[in-house]
Amino acid sequence: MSKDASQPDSNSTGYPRWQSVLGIFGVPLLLATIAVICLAEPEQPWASPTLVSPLGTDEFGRDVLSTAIIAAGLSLLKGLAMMSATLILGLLAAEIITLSRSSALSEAIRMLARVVESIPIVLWVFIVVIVMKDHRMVVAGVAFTLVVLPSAITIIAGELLRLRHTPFIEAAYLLGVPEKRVLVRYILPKAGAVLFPFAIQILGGAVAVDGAVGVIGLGSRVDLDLGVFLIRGKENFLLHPQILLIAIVMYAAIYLYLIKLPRLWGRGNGAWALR
Amino acid sequence: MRKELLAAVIVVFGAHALVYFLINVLPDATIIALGIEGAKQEVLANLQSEIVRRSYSEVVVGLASLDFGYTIDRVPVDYELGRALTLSFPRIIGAFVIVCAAALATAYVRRVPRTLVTFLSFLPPYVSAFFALLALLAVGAASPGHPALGVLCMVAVAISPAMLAVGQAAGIMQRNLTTEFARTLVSIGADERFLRTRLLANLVAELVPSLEKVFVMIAAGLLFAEPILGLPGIGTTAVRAVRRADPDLLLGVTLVFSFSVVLARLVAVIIRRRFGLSA
Repeated sequence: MSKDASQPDSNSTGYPRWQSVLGIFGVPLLLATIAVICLAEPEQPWASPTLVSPLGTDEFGRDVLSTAIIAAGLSLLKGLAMMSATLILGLLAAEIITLSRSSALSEAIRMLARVVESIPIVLWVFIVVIVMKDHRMVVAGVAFTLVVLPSAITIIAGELLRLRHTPFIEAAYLLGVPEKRVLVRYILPKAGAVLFPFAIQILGGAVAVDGAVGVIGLGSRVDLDLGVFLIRGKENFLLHPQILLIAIVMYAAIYLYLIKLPRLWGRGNGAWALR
Repeated sequence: MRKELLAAVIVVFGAHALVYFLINVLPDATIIALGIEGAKQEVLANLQSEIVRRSYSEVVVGLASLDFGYTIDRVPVDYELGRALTLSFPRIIGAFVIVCAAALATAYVRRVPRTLVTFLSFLPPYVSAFFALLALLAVGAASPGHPALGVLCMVAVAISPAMLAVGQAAGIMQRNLTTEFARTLVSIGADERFLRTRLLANLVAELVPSLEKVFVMIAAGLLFAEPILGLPGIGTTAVRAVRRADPDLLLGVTLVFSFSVVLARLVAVIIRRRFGLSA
């Protein structure tokens, strides 16, 4: 079967696709690795800034800059894990729903999505975290995935259903191409136009929820978490403003990176969330 | 409309029932949340006896007679919620006005900085609140009770939904300006301002379905902005309920949030019907 003409062969950014993948998944890993290498042994609490430690140390004697970089890298890694889990589970469930052609099932999932979206997602996560306080971070991740899942299934199933009715895919079915091959070879690459921006939205939400648990005081003060950084920064702002400032800068950097990801992937100009 | 009303009831009570189920997974969640697992047995037993665990049917029957139960401090939940809502209401309305004004103003703007708008709409709500706090600390106005606190809280809550609305409005306006109708008006010499004013009704009709999302974002903003800025209100009450795993208060907060979001959706449906658009 000939390749669909509407599908771009190469990345429109001009970079090979592997470089884009490296840009997306490599940055958080690189951040975490550099920070771990740079992280020195704990020193004196609230040490003054030096050349080696430009923002000084915090109340635990840890270098503020490298701990903030580690926290940002960890936030992104945790976000990537939550996003991957949501997308994989969402895709599997959406595929089952579209293949079963059960309108009752899809209506039930849509209603569940409406129920879940009727209160802020962070509130759901907080409720689950407070009920299951042990393994807080894992619980927060699982709760986020489960809460976002109904909406993810609705969106992915809608896109899969739309693509299944395009002439190109219908032709593939008529030619007897097996279902699995149609999905992997033809539907999923075309669904990327919707799935990729959606994945970044989930990633942004996951990073926000990860920090939110620390912001409302459900985290431990020694956690390498940007939310905990914000709270500690607020408490120590008058004498040590660098903690709050670096946490805000890290958040700004993470979200700038996220809104620029579609450009790196060659899918738009970074204004995807507006459409 | 009947179908929408039925769906609204299912959504509100669905969220309520789900939260009830979650906070009853662990029977002593409050004790865990308060961090007093190591307290004396008689103290724990005393506290547990004070927290009245009601079955879900009892909770629903109570709701029918407007009995929302009691907090773990033995204060009626309806009193707590009423007080919190009274304090938060001006902030919610103010934030909503900011969102509407920003969206409508976009109709008259030729070029919207899309990257900045996307960035601000994507930022977690608590980062906006910390920005507000930084601004207050910078001007030395962060003392409790300062009038600037309420205004800044409102702005911090409104930033994300306002930017979302601005982004959507910019896209809708851009599309509407290239329609046959708009091009015809331009070709007969219509003023651009006049043209944009004529397209305002279309913009409102297309933005109205986002009302639900705007209210969820405002609620999420209040969850962080109020506690961070040290203001009492529904956000602070919700966070207090979460921190102490206060069962009845959490259920009450859930009802308030889901009811307001569902109400926003119903209003959107009614407005779209009046414009002659499908729901």
